[in-house]
Order: sequence, then C-alpha cells, then structure tokens
Amino acid sequence: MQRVGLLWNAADSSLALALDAAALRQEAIAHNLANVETPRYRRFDVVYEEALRAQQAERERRKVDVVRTHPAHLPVAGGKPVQPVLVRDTTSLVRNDRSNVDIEREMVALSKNTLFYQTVTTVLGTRFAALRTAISEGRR
Amino acid sequence: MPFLPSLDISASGLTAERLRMDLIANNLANAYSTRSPRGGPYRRQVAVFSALEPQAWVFPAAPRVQARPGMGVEVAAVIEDPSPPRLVYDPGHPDARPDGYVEYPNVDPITEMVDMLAAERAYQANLAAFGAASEMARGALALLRG
Repeated sequence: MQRVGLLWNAADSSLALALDAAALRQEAIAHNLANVETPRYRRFDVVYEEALRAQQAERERRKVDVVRTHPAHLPVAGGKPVQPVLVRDTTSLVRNDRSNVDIEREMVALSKNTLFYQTVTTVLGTRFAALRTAISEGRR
Repeated sequence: MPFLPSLDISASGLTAERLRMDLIANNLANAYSTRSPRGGPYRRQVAVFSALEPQAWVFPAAPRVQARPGMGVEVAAVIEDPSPPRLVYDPGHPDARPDGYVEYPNVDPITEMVDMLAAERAYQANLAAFGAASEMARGALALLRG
C-alpha cells in the first residue's frame, strides 16, 4: 500500500498497517492463551509501537520531512513504513511447568489490543466519512 | 484482515481445555473403581498438550522467524498416569488381594480439583480471546458498511 493520492494518503497506509499489527498481535495472544497449560511453551509477542516510536524519534532528530511524490525519487532513509514483527519471548520468567505465559499479562495485552484496534478503526471510519461527505457535497 | 486464524486458535484452546475437563471428570467419577476392562483398578488419565507451530524452532538464537505464531494447541496424547495404585487394607472387599489389600485407582481428588480450577481458568481466558477477536472483526465489518 504505497500508493498515495487524493483518496488514500500516507496516514491511511500507516493506519492499515496498524490494523495488521493489531490482528497479528491478536493471533499471538490467542496462541499464548491456547498454550497456557502447555509445558515448556514460550510466549509470542508483536513489536510494532516501539519501532514506530523509534522511527518517529529518528525523524525528529533529522528535522527535515521529505515526501516522495514520484516513484522515481530516491527513497528517504527512515521513510519506510514500520512493519509489525513477531518475536518469541525467551527472556521472561518461567513458571513451574517451564512455560512463560502469564495469564494476567496476556489478558491485559488482550484488552489493550482490542482498544487499540477500535481506536484505529474509529479513526479510519472518520476519514472515510469525511471523504463521503466531500463527495456528496460536490454532487449538490 | 485475517481474523479467522485468531478465532481458530482460540477454538483449539477451548477444545483442549474441554477435553482436559472431561478427563478430570472421568478421573473423579472413577476414583474408587477397582475394576477396569484391562484388569486391575482404573488408572488416572492425563492429557498431553502440544503447541501447534511450524517446525522452525531449531535455532533458539534467532527469535525472529516466521510471520505467524502458530495454530494454537492440540492434545497430542492421552496417557495413563504410571504412578502405583493406592493400597487400602480391606480383606472383605471382593477385589482384595490375597494379602488383604485392595488396589484403588491412583486418583487424588485434591489434585483433580486443582487441575479442574486451572482448566476452567484457561477455558475462560480462551473464551475472552475469542470474544475480543470477534468484536474486532465486527469493528472491521462496521468500517466496510460505513
């Protein structure tokens, strides 16, 4: 989703990517919870917001915001969209059955992820509603 | 938006915990069964859980491997607890051995109750994950409807 235009801009692309990240995280949490009683299981995690923040900080540091308006333009460093990354958590403390799923932690992650997803869908919905209004206003 | 994998993963957890609950109920129901079709007392049954994951975990040094966590959990086997039967001295029992001891199943009701609580908690957690995923899917649908 690198196409940028009137109806779909860079912000929409990041929102769509955020939805993908939330969907992947939902899968990871579901997998962790399904294996809460599996001995020696190691939990999965999805890294996205941290990478996004790091990219943001890098942009702030550079102080120049360059936009590619043509595919032939040279790519700007740090301008690549941040992809959600699935990681396996091998560091956290291990329980008696040698699994490291903490049910409380997973439940908190679950509600946080649901809220995050709802926030992104609401923002996208507002964007689409604005587009719809603009289109129907032009028809009058 | 791929939501169906997440629902299937939660469903696998629900199925596994339900099976475990069935085994616990069967163990408790047979806590005093001194006879079984194979002879001897009933033996406690335990479910062996196994994570359904692609076999890409040979290199633990590289935590970033594939794009999907896996497909949940499966009950790989139902095994019999190999611990010895509980011996109770009761010479009048029809299944008593010549030395007067009766072999009762190796089922400890307290262990079963603790396992039952754990299975119930895990079942509820999987149910919550299922509910959250379907709520998210509904949110995505509402977005399409506008």
